[in-house]
Amino acid sequence: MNLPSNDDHARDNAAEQRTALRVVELKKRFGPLEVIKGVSFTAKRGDVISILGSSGSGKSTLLRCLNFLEEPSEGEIWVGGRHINARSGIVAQREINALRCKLGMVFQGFNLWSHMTVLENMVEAPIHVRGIAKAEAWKRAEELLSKVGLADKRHAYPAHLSGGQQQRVAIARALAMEPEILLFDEPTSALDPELVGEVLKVIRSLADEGRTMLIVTHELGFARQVSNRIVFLHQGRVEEEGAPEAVFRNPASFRLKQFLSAQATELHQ
Amino acid sequence: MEWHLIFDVLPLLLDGALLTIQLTAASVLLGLIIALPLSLMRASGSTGLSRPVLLYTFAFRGTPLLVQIFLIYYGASQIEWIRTSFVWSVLREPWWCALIAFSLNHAAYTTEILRGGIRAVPRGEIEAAKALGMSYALRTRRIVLPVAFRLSLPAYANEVVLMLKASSLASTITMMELTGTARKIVAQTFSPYEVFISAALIYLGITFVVVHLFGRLERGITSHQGRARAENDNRKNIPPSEGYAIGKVSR
Repeated sequence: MNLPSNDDHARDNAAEQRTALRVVELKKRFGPLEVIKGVSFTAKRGDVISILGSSGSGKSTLLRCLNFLEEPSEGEIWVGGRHINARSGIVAQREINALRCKLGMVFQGFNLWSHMTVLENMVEAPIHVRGIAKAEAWKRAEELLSKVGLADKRHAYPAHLSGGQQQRVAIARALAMEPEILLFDEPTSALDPELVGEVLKVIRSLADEGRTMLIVTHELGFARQVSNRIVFLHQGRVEEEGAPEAVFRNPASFRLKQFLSAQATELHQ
Repeated sequence: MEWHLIFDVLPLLLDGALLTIQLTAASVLLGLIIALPLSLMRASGSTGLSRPVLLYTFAFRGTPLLVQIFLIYYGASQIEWIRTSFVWSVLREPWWCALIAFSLNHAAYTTEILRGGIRAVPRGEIEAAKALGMSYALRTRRIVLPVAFRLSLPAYANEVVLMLKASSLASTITMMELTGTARKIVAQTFSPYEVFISAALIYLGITFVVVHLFGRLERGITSHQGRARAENDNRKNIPPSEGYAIGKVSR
């Protein structure tokens, strides 16, 4: 019998450290309807994973299950080495809040707080949830705001910004919590076509920085360029996954072929 | 009609006006304190929390305030154990009876107004707070209530004005507030017309101040919605490529 050697341990530890997120057999039921039927995947540090799928495939629900905006029915989640048994009703609220601090989320509808200025939106959670000193939080927020190109809007209210600007602020707000992983839930779907580019540019620069990201998107071209892995969901299951070039050039499953050709026709129309 | 009488009695009514203001302010304050937790219970998804509150607001909004005052003022004295307990030292005072009736009544209306505001807070803004790890208490305090209060303010201001005028009912249980004092002076002078006009003028004056204060508050805290003005101010600083997007407010 072979006992695991020190080398194996070292390798396991290294692998553990490289793993940012691991999801095993995640399931989500709404009453009798099973929307996620057992999804497993692993994201290493620095991975940019695009989650594709037609509407109703469960991709947004999957993302929302990861930070418990929807409570998963079953499954296991590891974030940064911390394990959560995600059976519904057993995870303490405190543990959920701790998990949420590690997962920054960007929504389709931006969801900035309308009664706060851009900077107030960004310092709220760092100060009151993470307990960061005010001066420090404001300074950091200003830096992040410059990074998304909106330094001149620091005292504007969300209603005074365009959709693209609001989404860039929302990204900066998520970054201000210094999350380990960023979750993007169709970040450009609510934007006018002319405004999509500025948001994608910001997301791309984050990918270049080596941030770990999960992106649910309909922008196939963008997904192909920016991500190093594609996960294709169909009816609540991972139908296919792999490197973008392989997946887009040689889709193995019938569903993915169908999905890609449908999207292509749409583009040509 | 003796016009000068209208102005002559004004100073005599001032004490009563002061009591009216005190009674209204205390009722509004107490009512708000009661209504805050109740509106959160009422807006919560839980039936166990919202039903009892609904019962309370239904009872107090469904019966006349005058009846509620009489029930507390005359009704309490009919009950043996209340008269023998320490509660009696409170309930035998008309001031306390009026305050209790007004606060409970005002709180019932305010609860429903605030509930509407809480329910109208955009779902996405609450989800964003959750996603950033904010606890229920924190997001209620920092996000939900500030937004709900802004949304409820116009209706709430109206309710405060209604409370001010409803405070005249305290005169029916011997309180010498504005209306009570006016009635006393009428009994002495036999000039109901002039004296009540005088009282009405004071009510108008107080209402004017209340409406004005709420108007200022509303303008102050809803400045973030002043889209057109701020956009025009911004227009100068915006590069031409982005300028077209500015007319667009969030969806």
